[in-house]
Amino acid sequence: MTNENNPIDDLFKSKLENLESEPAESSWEAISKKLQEENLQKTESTNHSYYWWAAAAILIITSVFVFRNFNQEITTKPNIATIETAKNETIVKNETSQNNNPVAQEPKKAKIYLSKNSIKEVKLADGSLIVLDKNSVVTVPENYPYQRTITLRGRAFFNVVKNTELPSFMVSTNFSECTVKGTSFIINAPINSNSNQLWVKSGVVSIKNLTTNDSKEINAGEKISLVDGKLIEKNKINSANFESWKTETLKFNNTPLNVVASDIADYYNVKVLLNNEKLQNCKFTGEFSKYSIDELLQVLSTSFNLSHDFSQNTYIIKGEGCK
Amino acid sequence: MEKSVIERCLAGDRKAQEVLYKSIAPKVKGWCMRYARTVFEVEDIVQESFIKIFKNLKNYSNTGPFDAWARRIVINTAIDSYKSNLFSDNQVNIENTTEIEVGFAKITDTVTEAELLKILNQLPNGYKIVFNMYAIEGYSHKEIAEILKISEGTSKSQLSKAREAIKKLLVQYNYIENDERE
Repeated sequence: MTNENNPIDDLFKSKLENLESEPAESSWEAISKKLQEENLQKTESTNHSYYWWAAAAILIITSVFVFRNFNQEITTKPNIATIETAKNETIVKNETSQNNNPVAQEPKKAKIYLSKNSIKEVKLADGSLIVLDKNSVVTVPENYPYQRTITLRGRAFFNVVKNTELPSFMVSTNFSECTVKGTSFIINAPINSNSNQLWVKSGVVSIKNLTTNDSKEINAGEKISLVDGKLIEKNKINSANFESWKTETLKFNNTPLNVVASDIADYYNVKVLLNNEKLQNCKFTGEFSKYSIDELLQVLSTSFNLSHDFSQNTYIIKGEGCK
Repeated sequence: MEKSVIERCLAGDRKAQEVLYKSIAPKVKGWCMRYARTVFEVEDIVQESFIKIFKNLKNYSNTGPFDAWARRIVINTAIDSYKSNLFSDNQVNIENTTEIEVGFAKITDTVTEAELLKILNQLPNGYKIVFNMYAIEGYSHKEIAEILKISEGTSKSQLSKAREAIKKLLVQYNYIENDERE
């Protein structure tokens, strides 16, 4: 059943044919409820399936009393029927526990987590946490934590639980590989860019440049960028706002207006320009939680007597500046 | 899928049903995501598919892979859902259009599954379902025509229009360098 080759078809087939995504947690409950409803209807009509009789036989043997109760109650009180089926579960539990993990026997595959318009948290089996920024993707091996290599497109925060018995936790992007023990950090690997950024919040992260194969160790409170296949000299994190996409809060502490502007630009995904060099002398202190950009600019304008123009996704901030 | 899990499902064992659900649910959702338009639609198709999977489990013969068997049910459910939501304005009825050559220089390898899904979601319903069925599922135009009750010519034209629209979107999002003048 293969059709003739076409590059677009091939692209979509290769990327989307085996796409996987975790369903909502409520999904199984809804399905299970519908199945039960259908089963209740079925119990009243006869069912000739071999398995049904097998099930009935087991039930009769193990618990004749419960089964009779069950049949009597279902027509009038579905709630009680639910409780009784829950009892069935405990009867067969021992049998289930021997082989209740068919997933582990399947070939090694990865789970893909996509975030679209909202920030998404991914809790991993070893207690580690990924907070995925909007429009980002991580893939997690299905046999995690026995293999702890995560791929990332976009931006994410990682909090890795230290566990020396498990393999190293590694995040790979198109351009870099970051290896860690227990630590927390943020990587930004934008989908449409050849740059990567890494901010280390705690612990130590080793970043490997996949273009040149050289590595560097980045300590807590430091950041590093990788641009055009080169690791740029690491330096101290000078703004608290490297994680504002996650905390939804912008914090400034005696921060020059040009840094404020670049943090705003990054957070709201716009361009922000200052029309006067003296504006860099203005220092701002304050905290904005879940502000709209217009509200935020309003506050800045009042503080420094500014005005602004907006066109084509760019804010131009105007003012006399400070001494 | 283990035989014993299926047998226990058939016996009405809810624990086994949950094991079966958990083992294929991410895949089922992935299949549905290509067809559905909204998260709600995805959820509906996933649920309906699982009900059908459990109801038809006795027909699974254990000869082929379970995934492939389940996938057919899910895809059919997705197609049925499309058919029941048909909008006439998405139908393009041009007979015997010729295939349009789609040549492009380079696809940036950073294009992600999420981006491709986004592109797929921007196609009109009629393009999207034919593209899914032909390019990803591997149905022939003849089969698509029969299933969707359209002519083979319509199926062909929907496919080439889908590819054209996708190409435009790929160029627009800078995933491919456009080597032609539009």
